[in-house]
Amino acid sequence: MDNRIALLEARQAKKNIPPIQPGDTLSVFVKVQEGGEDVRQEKGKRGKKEGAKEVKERIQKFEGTVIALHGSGLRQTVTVRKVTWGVGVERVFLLHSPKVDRVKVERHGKVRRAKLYYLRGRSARASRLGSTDRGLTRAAGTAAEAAPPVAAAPVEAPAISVTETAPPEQKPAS
Amino acid sequence: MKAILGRKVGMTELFDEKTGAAVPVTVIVAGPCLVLRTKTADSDGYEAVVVGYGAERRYPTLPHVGEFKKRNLEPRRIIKEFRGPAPEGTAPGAEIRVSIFKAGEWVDVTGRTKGRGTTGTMKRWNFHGAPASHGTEKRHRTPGSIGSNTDPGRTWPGKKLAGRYGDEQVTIQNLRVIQVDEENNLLAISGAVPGAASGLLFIRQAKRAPVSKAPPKG
Repeated sequence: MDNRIALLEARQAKKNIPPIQPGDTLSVFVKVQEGGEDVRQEKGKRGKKEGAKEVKERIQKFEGTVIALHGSGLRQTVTVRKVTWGVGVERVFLLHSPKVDRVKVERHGKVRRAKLYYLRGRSARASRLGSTDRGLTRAAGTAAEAAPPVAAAPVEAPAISVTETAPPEQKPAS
Repeated sequence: MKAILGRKVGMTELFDEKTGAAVPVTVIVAGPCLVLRTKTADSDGYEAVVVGYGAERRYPTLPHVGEFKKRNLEPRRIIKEFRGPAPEGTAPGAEIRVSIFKAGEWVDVTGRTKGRGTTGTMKRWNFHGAPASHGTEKRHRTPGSIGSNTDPGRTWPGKKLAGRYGDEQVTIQNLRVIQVDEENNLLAISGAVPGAASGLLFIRQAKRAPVSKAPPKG
């Protein structure tokens, strides 16, 4: 990328985004607007002056599994998936968007690929990811429950571990 | 008339400070343009500003350099005329900078599109081509018939056919200025702009700015 573009992007970039990895459980705090002009205007009338409702802004949490990271710099997005009421919900967030108040990595998941689209076809139980915090090696839920200490296989763990010490995925955005 | 010359840098997305929406943006490095002279109705029969822009070429022609030398100015690569009355304070030697534009204003951007060379009718004229299947053989992108038989016995002039495409001057009207970076001579303008990166662009105040003052949503 031309560094003159990077210059403009850097001005709007957030500096407090934690390193995010696929498989992480992520809480995204989204700013949501309620009421206000938009609603009034749709009903005709220039409802700007009289009775225009105040725009209320509140913060809504969306927590789920990171199944994909896309892009870099100001345009980086994260796809977060969760299952509510038996329905899979995926949202794509522009990490640097002013509409995203902040994000928090709740847990690291043990995964072996960058895009976790395979989780879509699975039941909630089968889509559970082993946690690196517990040193599990298998992604499947059943194995995870079996025996945590045994599963802490030293062979695979270091190579693909997703701990905090792992290098942030896309730092050099020149 | 407010106008400036620049070169395309590339595209990205920026966030609208009010709505928080992501806006696709072309970054342009523009100016400073050196004013060579102003033309008036008295002197030339019409009004214009003549400017120079860019680093001088390695082997400039003498007439080109002469235009600058006779005014005791540093030579520039390009000489161009902006039609229209000169803004206040425009005198030979003055500089036109990106600061003439403010975020939120509307501009027209002129450039040369990427040359595409010899191109078929589908790309050049948006013909539909032939079906991909149902027995079509080796004729998927052909133009089909180009005219009638004995009467008139010829193809009409102007018939859209394959040929050279691109490398033509195109103006995109009513693009919105999103950001102005005076320090680095950068403009961020919403939407796409003709030509490849580093292509020369002419940016002017919009000829037919949208009537509504409110910027478009999103």
